[in-house]
Amino acid sequence: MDLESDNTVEEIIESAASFWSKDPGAYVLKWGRKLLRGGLMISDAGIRDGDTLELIPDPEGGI
Amino acid sequence: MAKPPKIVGEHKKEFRVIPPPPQDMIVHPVDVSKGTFELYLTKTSKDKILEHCNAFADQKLEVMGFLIGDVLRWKNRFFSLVKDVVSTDLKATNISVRFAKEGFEPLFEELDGLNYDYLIVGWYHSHPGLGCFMSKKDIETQKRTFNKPYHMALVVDPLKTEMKAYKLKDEGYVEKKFAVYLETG
Repeated sequence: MDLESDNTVEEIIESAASFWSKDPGAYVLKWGRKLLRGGLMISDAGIRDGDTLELIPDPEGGI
Repeated sequence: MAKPPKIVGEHKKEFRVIPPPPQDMIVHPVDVSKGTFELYLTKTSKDKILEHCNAFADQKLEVMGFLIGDVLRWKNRFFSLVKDVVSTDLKATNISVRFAKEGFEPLFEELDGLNYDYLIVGWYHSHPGLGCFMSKKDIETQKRTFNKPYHMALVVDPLKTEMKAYKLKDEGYVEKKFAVYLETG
């Protein structure tokens, strides 16, 4: 993924979700053992070229 | 203003050609004569699921977690193999459950500790005292996050000692047979 330093986590999730036809609201973003939160910018998170980010499901069960 | 993030490449996991667990390793169901199954669980995984569900059954709290494993191919059929389950702190009632926000990082630590190239092949959750079925919310979750052909949902009622597997079909869902096997090593 091509990113700019002031892209946000929310933008990454939306972009990845759109590419793979997923619902962006149903996932969180994992960076190693860290949960990346919506408004955080790449530059503030410390993410660097080559790092792996993963979309992890955030399921909800209920009656 | 920053340009939006752009996907520049994609790597798709290859589904390896490996036979399913042989019949002499299967401990459930007892009669495997008609079996090809779309879902196989290790006995350890099944026991962990039941232990998790039972731990909160008396309080009638729902629990949930991920089914972790692989998707394999054999004779033009795909099947999911659950080798492990992971969970974390939950936000739960007797009729709802999701991961607690503070539970994600311990969950990620558990995923990173798996040390193999895993797939999240589905999820399990419990319906204490309510029986096994997929509610409207469960189906919505399955459609939003577990919508690949190999994705499964295990629903457990620990008070009625039931466990059933489901996958999406058309606008609803269908029950699927599953097998439990003894892993080696």
